[in-house]
Amino acid sequence: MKPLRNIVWLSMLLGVGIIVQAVEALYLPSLIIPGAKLGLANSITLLVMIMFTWKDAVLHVAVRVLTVSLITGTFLSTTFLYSLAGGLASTFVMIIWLRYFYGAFSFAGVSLMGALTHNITQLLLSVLILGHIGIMTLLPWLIFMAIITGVPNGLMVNVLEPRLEKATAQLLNT
Amino acid sequence: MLTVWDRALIVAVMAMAALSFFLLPKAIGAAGRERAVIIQSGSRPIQSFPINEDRVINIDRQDGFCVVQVKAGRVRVKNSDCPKKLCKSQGWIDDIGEPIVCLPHQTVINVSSKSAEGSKVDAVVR
Repeated sequence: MKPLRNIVWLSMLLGVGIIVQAVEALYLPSLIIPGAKLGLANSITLLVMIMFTWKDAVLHVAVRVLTVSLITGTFLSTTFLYSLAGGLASTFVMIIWLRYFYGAFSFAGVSLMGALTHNITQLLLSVLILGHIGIMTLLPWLIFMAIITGVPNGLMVNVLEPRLEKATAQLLNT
Repeated sequence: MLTVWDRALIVAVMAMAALSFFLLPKAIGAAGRERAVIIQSGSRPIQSFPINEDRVINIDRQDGFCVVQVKAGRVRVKNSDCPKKLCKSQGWIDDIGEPIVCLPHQTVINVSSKSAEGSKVDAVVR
């Protein structure tokens, strides 16, 4: 059984992740190319794996993708498949990157790797599902999009993470 | 905020994007431009030929005949004994997504391609 404090934190982060992803999916237009999104929810996943364990992060992503698919009405559709595959793949890469390369890279580097993995996984999956190699033409654009979405998200985590740690420390002291 | 390695990673990923931008179209194009003519009887493909080799194919069925001509990267029905000759009057085709159908003989002539690269259509839904 986890301490109550952890459960409250994880629930709040999950709530933030779900709202951010749902609002992005429902109200924000695609950036430049079809399907490209800000991926703000990815930074929340990164926060979860920084503040808690990698298992929490995987669970966080699975529950978030499931819940958002219920909100947007895409549960068990191909959209859901793309979302789940991209989310889980990027989470695993970020977990590995965070564990072995954090220090040399800041969270921005970790986030960029996650965004890159997310986009490439979804592209490969779409080639598989649609059976059409021509979709690979989008690859350079998606790699480029990974930079302009992944890096700012990581920078945000760079700022947020110390503050959240400070806030939890203060809560514990009082 | 950004470490040296972060910056190096960003530069590396940008290089990756640029590299794939220039290399991918060639890689996809080579696979995509391989077009084939597929002749179907009903929903069953019966014969397939490369589109860039000239030839004349005679299709003889119990209910009639159909002469298909492949020439200079295009295909047409040269002659048929069907009543309205709609297949013949469609003329030459050279792209995916514009099949010639000879309904009385249930014969379909299609151009297939692994990719829509260099094609007039964006994509084909299967």
